[in-house]
Amino acid sequence: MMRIARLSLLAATALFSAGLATRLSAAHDGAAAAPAQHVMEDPNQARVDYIENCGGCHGVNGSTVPAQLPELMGRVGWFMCTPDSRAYLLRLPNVAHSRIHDNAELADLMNYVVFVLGGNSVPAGTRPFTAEEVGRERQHALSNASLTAERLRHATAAVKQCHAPQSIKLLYPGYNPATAH
Amino acid sequence: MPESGESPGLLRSIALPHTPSRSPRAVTYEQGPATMTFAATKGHFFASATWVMALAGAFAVASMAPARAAPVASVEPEQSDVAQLTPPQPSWFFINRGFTENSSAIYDTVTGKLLGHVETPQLTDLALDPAGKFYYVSSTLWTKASRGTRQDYVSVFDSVDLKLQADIPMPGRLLVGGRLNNFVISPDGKFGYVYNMSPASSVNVIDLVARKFVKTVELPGCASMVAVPGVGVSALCSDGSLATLTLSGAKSQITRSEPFFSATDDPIFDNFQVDRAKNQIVMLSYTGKIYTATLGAKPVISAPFSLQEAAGVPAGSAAPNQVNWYPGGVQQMALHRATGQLYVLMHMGEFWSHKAGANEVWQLDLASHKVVKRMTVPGEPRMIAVTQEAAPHLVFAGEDETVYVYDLATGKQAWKLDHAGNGVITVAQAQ
Repeated sequence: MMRIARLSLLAATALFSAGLATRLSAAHDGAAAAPAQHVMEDPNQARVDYIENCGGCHGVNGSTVPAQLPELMGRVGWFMCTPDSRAYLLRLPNVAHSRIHDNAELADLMNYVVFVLGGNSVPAGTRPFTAEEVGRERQHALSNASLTAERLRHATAAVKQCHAPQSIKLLYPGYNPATAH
Repeated sequence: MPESGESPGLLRSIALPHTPSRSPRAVTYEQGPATMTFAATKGHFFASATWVMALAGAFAVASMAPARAAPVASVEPEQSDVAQLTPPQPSWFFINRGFTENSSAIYDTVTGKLLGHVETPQLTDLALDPAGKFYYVSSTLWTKASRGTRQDYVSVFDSVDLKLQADIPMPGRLLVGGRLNNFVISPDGKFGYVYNMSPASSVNVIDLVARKFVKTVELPGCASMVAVPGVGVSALCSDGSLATLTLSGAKSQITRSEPFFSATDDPIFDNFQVDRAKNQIVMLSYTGKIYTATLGAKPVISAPFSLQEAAGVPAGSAAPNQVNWYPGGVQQMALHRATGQLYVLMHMGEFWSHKAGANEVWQLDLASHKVVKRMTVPGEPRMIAVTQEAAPHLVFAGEDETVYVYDLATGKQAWKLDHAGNGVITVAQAQ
C-alpha cells in the first residue's frame, strides 16, 4: 500500500514536471498546471494532513469507488476551473472548519488534493491556493446551501468552460445510486 | 458432525466424506416419506467414529418409530404462548447488546428482570414513540451481508407484542453506532428524523403516521440532532454554532446561532441530553463545560460553567499534561428531568481522554451549579442512563457487558446484570 502510494505520488510529480513546469498564470492559457512539488511548502506534511483529516472517508489515495463519495483521484482538479468553483473547494464546511487553523498549512493540504490527487484533471495554468485565499474563503463556509446542488453547478461549469468530461457531474464515472455502497 | 443423540433427519444434509471406490455397498432405510441411501467403501466408512454413532442412532430411531405408539403423558400438556408487554414504563431501560448481538434488551429496574428484546442489529438506532405504542429502529442492510444492494429503512415494532409492523424505506443514513441523537422523533410522534450523509450531511424526514419517507434536507457541517416542536430540528455544527433547520414551511431553511463553542479546541459530546418539559438541551464539552440551550426557531444558549469547579476542583483544561477529573465514555451523562439532576461519568486523566471509562459518577444540580454528590462506581462504565421515575434508578455499563443498576434513594446497588450489553442505553420519556 505504501509502495503504491509512493509510486502514484512519484507518477504525479513526474507528470507535472514533464509539462511547462514553471509557468504559473491566472488564466487558463494553455500552460500546464503548476508542478506538484512547487505548489506545497511542505509536501510531506500536506500528505500527512490529508490522510489524517480527509483520507478516512476519501481514501488514502483519493479513490473510494463504489462508495457514495466524490472520487478525487484524477478528477478533483476540474473544480479549479472557475474562481467560483475553486472557492467552493475551500468553502466546503469540512475544509473551512478544518481543525488546521494555519491557513498556509491548509493551503498546502488543498494543493495536495488538487495537484497530486487531482493529477491530470487540473486545468492548464491553474494557480495553486495561497494562505491568503484560504483565509479569505474559509470565512464563507457553505453552511446554508445544498452541497449536492453546488457541486453539480460547478461541475456543469467545468464541462462548459474547461471541457471537463460529462462524468464529472457524477460522484464517479458510472455512478449509479442503486449499486453504490 | 451429528452426534448419536441427534435426530436422524440431520443426516440428510450431511454429504458423505468419501466417494465410493472399491466394493461399494448401499445402506437404505426409511423414516416416513423420506428415503436415504448411503453408499460407502467399507474401510473408509468405518474410519469415522462419529459416523458410526450417528448411523447407529439413526437406525435405532428408524426401527422404533413405526412399532410403538407415543407414551401418554401423566399431566396436561403445557400450552406454549407468547407473553405480552405493556407500553414502555418509566422504570424500564433498553440496552443495545453491542456489536455482536442483534438486539436491545428491555429490563425493568424495579425487578431486575429481562422483559424482551427489540431487534436492533449492528449500527442501528433505536427510538421510542412518545405515546409508547411503537419502537422505531433506523437500520441498514445489504443484500449480501456486507455487500450487494444497500437498503436503508426505519422498522416499526409494536410495543406490546414486539412484532414488526412495517419497514419504511429511505435513501440512506450515517453508519455510526452508539449515538443517541442520530435518530430522533418529534415530541408529537408524527415525524422521525434520521441523520444521513449523501455524502453531504443531511436529514431524512420520515412521516411516521403515513409511514412514508418525505424528503432529505441538507444540513451542511452539522450533526447530532434534537427535534424542535413546531420548527424541525436543531443540530451541533463544526463552526461551533447550533443550527436550526425549519421544516414547517414550504421551503426548508437553516439558521445558525452565534458560535458558542470550538469544535476543534473543546468539542461538545454528541450524546447531549434533552428535557422536553423545559424545552432544553444540556450539553457537555470535553473539558467539562456545561451548556444549556432553550430550543426554538431562535435557540437561546446559556453561558457555560465548569463541572469541575461545581465540585470544588480546578476547571478542566485543553492544555496537555494537566491531570484532572474529566468527563468520558460514549454516553457520558444522564439527566433526571423532573429534578434537574445531571449524572456524569468522570475519570482522572488529561484532555483527550474523553473515551475513558469512569471511576466516579458526579451528580450535578443544574439549578445551583453544584456537584451535590460523587459516587464511586465499579466496572469503568462508558454508558450511563437514569430512569425518569420519582425514585429513579441509575443504570451504567462498561466494556465487559455487566450492567449495574443503582437505587438513587439509597445510593446502593440494586442489580448487577451479567452479559446484559454495553451499547447505548435508552429510557422511556427520554425524548
